[in-house]
Order: sequence, then C-alpha cells, then structure tokens
Amino acid sequence: MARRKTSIPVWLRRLSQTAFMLLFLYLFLQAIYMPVNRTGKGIKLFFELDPLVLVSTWIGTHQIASGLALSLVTLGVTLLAGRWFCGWVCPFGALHNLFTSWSKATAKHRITVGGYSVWQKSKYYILVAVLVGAAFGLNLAGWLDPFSAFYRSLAVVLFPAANDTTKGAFTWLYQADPAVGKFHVTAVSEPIYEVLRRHVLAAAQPHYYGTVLIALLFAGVVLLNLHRNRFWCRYVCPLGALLGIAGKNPLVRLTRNEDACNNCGLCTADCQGGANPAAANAWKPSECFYCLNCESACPHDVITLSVGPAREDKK
Amino acid sequence: MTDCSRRQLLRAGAAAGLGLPFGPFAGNSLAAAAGPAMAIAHYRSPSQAPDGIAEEAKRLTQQSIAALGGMNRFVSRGDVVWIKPNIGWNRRPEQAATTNPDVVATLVSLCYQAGAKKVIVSDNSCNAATPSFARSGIQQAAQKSGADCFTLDERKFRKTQMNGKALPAWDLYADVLGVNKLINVPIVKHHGLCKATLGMKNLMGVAGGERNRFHQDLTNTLVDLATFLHPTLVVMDAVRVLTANGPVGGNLADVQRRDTVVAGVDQVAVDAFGATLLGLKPQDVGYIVEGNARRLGTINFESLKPKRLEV
Repeated sequence: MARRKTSIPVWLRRLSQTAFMLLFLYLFLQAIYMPVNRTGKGIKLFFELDPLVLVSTWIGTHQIASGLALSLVTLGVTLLAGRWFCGWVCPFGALHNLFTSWSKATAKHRITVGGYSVWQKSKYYILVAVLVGAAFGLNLAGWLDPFSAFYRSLAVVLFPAANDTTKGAFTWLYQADPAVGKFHVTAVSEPIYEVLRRHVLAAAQPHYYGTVLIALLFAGVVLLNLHRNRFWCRYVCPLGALLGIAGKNPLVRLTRNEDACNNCGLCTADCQGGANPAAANAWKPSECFYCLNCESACPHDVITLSVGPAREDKK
Repeated sequence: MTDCSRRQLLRAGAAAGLGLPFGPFAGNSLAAAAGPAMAIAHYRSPSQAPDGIAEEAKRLTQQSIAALGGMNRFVSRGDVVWIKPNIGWNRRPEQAATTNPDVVATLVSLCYQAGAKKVIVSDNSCNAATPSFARSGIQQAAQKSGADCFTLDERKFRKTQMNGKALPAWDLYADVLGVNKLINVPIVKHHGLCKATLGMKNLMGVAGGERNRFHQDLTNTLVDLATFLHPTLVVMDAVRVLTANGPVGGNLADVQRRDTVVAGVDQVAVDAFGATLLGLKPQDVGYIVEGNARRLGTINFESLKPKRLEV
C-alpha cells in the first residue's frame, strides 16, 4: 500500500502549529523585566485563551480576570466546530505531535494502538479532580494545565539548559579560537552569538531548585509519546477533556464513503486523538483534534472532514 | 605600539616631566601633548528644568572639548573609540550615581564628527547591568547618537599583564584593549572608602574578576589601572555631584549641582580638581597623591594653567 503525499490541509495545520509554537516561545522570552520593571506585551495570551484557567479560577476564587473572556472564544469555536484548538493551536500538543512523529513504530503497530482506548476517559477524571481541587482551594490546574506545564518546563528546565549550553559552546569557541588555515570560526560564530546575546539569551540566568523533578516529569511525559500517539493529549490533559465535553456535537464532522474503503487502517495509524476514523458510525468527535491526517493518509479518499448537520446522539 | 612611537613617547615624557605611560592607549598621549592640558567649563545660568539641564550638559561638554582644541585632536578618522562612562549603578540620572547621559551623548556626536568609524559606550556595572544601562538613561542617549551601547559580554575578560605595584595582572575587557581610543567619562562622587570616586576609580569599569579585592588597596590598584590603561582623554561630569553616601547614593538630598564639566589629558590633575568640587583637598585622596608620586600626572592642576570658561 503506497503512502500518499501529505495533503495541503495537513501542511496548513503544521504551519499553524509551528506559528503558535513560535508565538508561545516569543511570548515566553518577553516575560522578563526588560529593561526596567516592565515586561513585554501579551505575555498572558495563551492563558487568557484557556477555558480551563477560566473555569478553575472562577471555582476557586469566585472571580474572573477580564482577560479570560478570550477563552470564551476557544469554547465557542470548540462548541461549534470541535477540538480544532488541540490540533491547530496548542503548542504543548504540537510538541507531543512532534515527538509522536519521531516514533519508529511500524505502521502495523500504530494501526493496532492508534484507535480509541477506554483509557482515554482518564483525562475526564483528571478534569474532575482539578475542578474539585479548585473548589477546595487546591491549584491542580497549575500542574496539569498544558500551558502551565509547558511554561514551567521551559522556565525551570529547558530555557536555563539551552542558555547555559549555548553560552558554554560560544565561550569555548571564543577562548579556544579554532581556525582552519586563516579562517577563524569566530568570524562566523561571534556575530551569531552577539545577536543571541542581545535578543534571546538571558542576561543573568537564574537557576532553580526542583529542576530535576520538573525535568523528569517533562521528559517522562514527552517520551510517553513513543508508547501512544500524543499520550498527554489523549490520557491526561484536563483542558483537552474540557474541550472534549464542549466538542461532543460539532458542526464539522468526519464522514466516510464506506463503498470505497478496503480497511487498510492507514487512517488509524496516524490518528492523533484516538477518534476512530476507521470505524463506520463510531467516530468520536470529542476525541478528534481535526489534524486531518486520516483524510490525507487514505489512499481511496474515503474520509472527509466537512461541515454537516449536527448528528443525533446515538449511544 | 611601534618602536617609533615609543621613542617619541619617551622623549615627550622626559621633556614634559610626565610619568612614562605604557599600555594600549599610551601612544595616544603623543597627539594629546599638542595643546592645552585641561579645560574647566562652568555654566553661567543653570536651570532646574530637565531640558535646561540637558542643554547645559551638552554645551559644557562641547565647549570644554573645543577649549582643548576640538575632538580632532584626540580622535582620528577611522578610529574605533570606547567611551567609558559610569554606568555602575541602577540609578536615575538625577541621583548622580552615574554619568550624565547628555554628556555621554554629546561626546558620541563629537567623536563621529571627528571621523570616528565606530563609537562604543559601555561599562562593567556593579549593580545588574541591564537595568543600570536603562535607568541611567545612558543606553538610550548613546544609541540615539549612534553609538553601540550594550552590556558587556562576560566571556571577554582576559587576564592581562599590567606590571603594576599591586596588580601584576588582572582580567581586563578584551574589546577595550582592542580599540584605538579610550575616553574616560566619570561623574564626581563621594566614596565611603576612599573619600572620592573620580576618573581613575571609574576605570575599574574596564576590569572584571573579583574587583572587590581592589578596595583593599585602592591607592595602588587604581594608579596601576590608570597607568596601564592611560585613556586618551578624561571628561569629568560635575553637572550634578554626589556629596554623601557614595558611590551608590540614592538620596536626592545628597545630590548637589556644580554645573561644571572638566576635560583634560592629565588623569591626576583632573581628579585633583574633581576632589575640590567635593570640598576635599587633593592631598587627602590617597590615589591622587600616589598618581602624582609615580609621575602619572600632577596633583597641582593649577600648574597646567587650565583654561577656565564661563558658558
């Protein structure tokens, strides 16, 4: 079975994920008191788009920060059209997507494990735990919200490590000054370092206690993608669970031309959300990220994701 | 340094009875020998308004340099110039802990007008560098005048042989040692340990490493540093001075106006005059006496017949 060329909508989706990832990283770098007691603009954007933050802080504090009104847009879009946020916007999800794509598992294995698993219900229980915790003043959202988890890992582990590694490498280059004949490597490396030093790297990088724990958690979560596609997104993410509830009956639906289907299973191999694209009448909209991999992978154009009438609830 | 300029220098040094400078910028004192040694500019009608003070700082700087013969005497076409102000502290200009930003900006413009290829403005701050550069107003003012003004790169401090009495060698910023001209631009301040921090003390901003050790013997370490670096020109900011609780300051009540800028080639003489602005006798300041003793310069600034201007 020949693997089809990746479709244009999938390329658009990847572009979107890349753009939001870069935006997330950019806003992360803006959250420094630079130069004097002032942070960059828009550093809270992703948290303001996050309905889990809205709901958990309202439950916990009975107050809503005005910026959180943006999260109603996310909820609204999800209610109308499904979990596009998970597939096209969420940078933590994009990271898991990336690691999933590096998995060396065979197509046969991925077909076996790519479909829906009842364990995907665990994220809904985690969501309940987060909300009940909020009611009792316990901020579990601070640990399990995807943006919180990603931001913390960046701030405490990834950025300091990247900062130190980069500085270390360029310090060695400056001091050792390796040269090939008359060409000094520093002729190229120094201008690069100067740009990094002035615009990206931390002037004085703080180091944190608890780095090892956060590093292990982050590495663990990311490596689990080798076991199942987008592990965090399918089994853990409370925001995903919230959006899954909101996205139970979307207007954009997956339809199948059963006559053309030969049950090859390629649609399931690359399914990110575990939404059962291969099963007739068993596609689970609350698990679908609208990544469009199934539509792209199918050699016989069986699958289409398009606007259609709201389905009657069949249990 | 070429052999030729060293011979000329020895002749000039012997003739003028000055100390024999050596180090990266010593050759420049040759050109600096041709002309008045010192100019003291004082503002006739100072104002309290911020743009009034800015204008004052600008004109005092311009006139004091003009009185020495113009920046062309010190900066040649194509030169890379390092302007070394005091950006040591996370303070606003009104608190007089850092050099007046308009003095710095004016010097940047004058250097470019004299044909400098590139002007760098920087300092090894004592407080956190990024906020100090911003809050002092110097980064913005210098960049606006076209200088490259950014915090130092901590990789670039290199152990340098200085052959000093107290400092045989020390970590100095490599990029400073590589430029053509060094202009020292201190601000006059009280100092809790050595009574006054002036030009020679300001040169600590070229040094890295554990500079706190300097304070165990400021008399000798500062003269070692000043002898080795031997800036082309010193422009001393005394528009506002810090009269107490220096060098860090903070309290506006400790700030007084002197409405003066001093430009000169003799580090010791300029510092000696600066001390008098704080009500001190030059003989009371250890490193000024030592600088004079080692013939780095003269403590008796009047003997240089400084040009006095009312601006």
